[in-house]
Amino acid sequence: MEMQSAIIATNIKKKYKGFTLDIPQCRIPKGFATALIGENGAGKSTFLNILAGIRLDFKGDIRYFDEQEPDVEKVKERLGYTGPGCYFLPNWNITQVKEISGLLFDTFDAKRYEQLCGELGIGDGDGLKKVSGLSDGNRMKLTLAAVLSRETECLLMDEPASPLDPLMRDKLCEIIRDYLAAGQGEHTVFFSTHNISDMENVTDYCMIMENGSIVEEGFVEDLKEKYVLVKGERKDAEAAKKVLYSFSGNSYGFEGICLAENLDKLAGMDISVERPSLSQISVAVMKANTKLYFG
Amino acid sequence: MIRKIKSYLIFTPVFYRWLMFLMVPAGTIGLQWLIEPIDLFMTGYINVMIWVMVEIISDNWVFGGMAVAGGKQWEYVKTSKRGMPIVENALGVNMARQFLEGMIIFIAGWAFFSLRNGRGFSDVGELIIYVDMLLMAYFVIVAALSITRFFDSVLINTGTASLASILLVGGFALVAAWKYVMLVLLVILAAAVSVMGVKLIMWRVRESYYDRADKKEY
Repeated sequence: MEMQSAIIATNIKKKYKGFTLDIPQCRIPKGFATALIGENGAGKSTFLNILAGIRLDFKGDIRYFDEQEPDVEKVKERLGYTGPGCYFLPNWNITQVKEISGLLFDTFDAKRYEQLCGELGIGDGDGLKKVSGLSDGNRMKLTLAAVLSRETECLLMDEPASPLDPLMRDKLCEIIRDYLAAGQGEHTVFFSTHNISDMENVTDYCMIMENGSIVEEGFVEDLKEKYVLVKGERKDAEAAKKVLYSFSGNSYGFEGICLAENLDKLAGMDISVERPSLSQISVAVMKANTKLYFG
Repeated sequence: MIRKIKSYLIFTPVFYRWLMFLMVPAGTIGLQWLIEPIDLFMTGYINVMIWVMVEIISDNWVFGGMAVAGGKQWEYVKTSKRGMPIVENALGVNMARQFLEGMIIFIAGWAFFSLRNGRGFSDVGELIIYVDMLLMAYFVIVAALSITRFFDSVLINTGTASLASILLVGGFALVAAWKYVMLVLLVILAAAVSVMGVKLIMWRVRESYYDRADKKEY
C-alpha cells in the first residue's frame, strides 16, 4: 500500500548568505508523527516556517492534504503551527490569546482552551497574566493550548520539547499520541527536535537534516534495521573505523553505527551488534554530514 | 464593523482603554481647573500637550515595535488567513479612536471653559483655530506613531512625544496666522496621514513574511 502524504514539498530552495535550503522532495506521511532532526542552523525552522506559510520567499511547490491544495492561505485553518520565541505579542495576556484565537480561527474552542490552560498549569488560573511574564516553558504550553483548541489536521511544531521540563515532555508525547489517535489516520504531526531520546517513543517517521538538505529519512523501525550499533575491542578499532558510519573510541574499545548491509565487512572482528536508538542513528548521520570537525 | 472593533479591543488592554477614554479627558479638565486658561486657545494648547504626550508614549504599550525588522512577534497572527486583516482593522480603529479621543478632549475643554467663564468662542475665527489645533495634533500623533512603531523603546516614544510637542508650538503660530488656509491643509493632511499611517505599518508587517536581505536572492 502506498504511503499517503499530508504535505508534499518539491524543489524547495531558499538562500541565505552562506546557507542554502535545498530539498528536492519531502513527503510528510499522513497519519504519523514525523520528527525533523538536525543540528543548529541545519534549516529546520526555515523549512517549518515555509510549510506553515509564515515565510513566503522561497522557490518550490508545496501541496497540502492529498496533493489537492497548493495555496497555503486556504489550508491555514487546517494547519496548526507552534513556534519558539516571540510567537505571541508579549503584551497579550492569557485571556487575550483566547480572544484573538477566536477571531483568527473558525474552529477555535474557547472552553477547550481554558481546559487545556488548567490541565497544563498555565498562569495558575490568572487569565490576566501577560505572555511576557511567562517562563519559556509556560509560553510553549500556552502555544500548545492555543493550537490544540482548534480542529486541525496537521500540526507543524518547531522545537516544542526544548523549553519543556522532562515531565512536560512526557505530557507532550501523550498529547501528540492522543492527537494522532483522535484523527484515526487523518491527523499528522511534523515536529523538529533536539531532544531525540525524549521524543523517540512518539516518533513514527524521521527526517535528518544537515546543511539545508534532508540526508536521511524513513520509518524509525526501518532505520533501526538499516543501521546497527557495533561495539568492539580496541585492537579492532582502526579496521572497524573504515567501515563504521560513526565512530567513538576509548582505551577499552570502540562503538559506532554501521550500515547493516556493511556488517559482513566486520567479519572476523570480535564485535557485538545491538539495535541502535533513534538518537544514536541521528547523531551518526549528523556526524557523517556535518561541517563541524569531530577529529 | 463589530469585527473591526473586536480586533481593536483584542489589541488593547482594558486599562489602556480606561486611560485613553476616561483618564486623559479627566486629566485635561483637571489641569484646566488648576491653570485656569484665559481663552480657548490656551485651553486647546493644554489639551494638545497632554493628548500628544499620552498618545505617543502609551502607544509603545499596545503597538510598540510592531514594525520592527523581522517582525517575529507576528508568528501566531500570520498562521491565520485572517491575521493581516485583523491587524489592519486594529490599526484603523485605533486611528479612529484617536480622532474621537481628540474630539472628546476638545469638546470637554470647550464645555468646561464655557461653563466656568460664562462665554464660549468669541467668533468663527476662534472656533476655526480650535479645530485647526485638533487636526494638527491628530496629524502629528499619527505621523509620530508611524515612526515610533519601527522601534520597540519607550524612550524613543517619549523623545518623539517631546519633540512633537515642541513642533506643535511652532505649528500653532502658523494656525494663528493662516487659520482658514491651515484648516483646508490640515483636513487634507489628516486624511492622508490616516491612510498612509495604516498602509506604512501594514507594509512593514507584511514584509515580515520575507527576509529583506535575501529577498532578491531566493
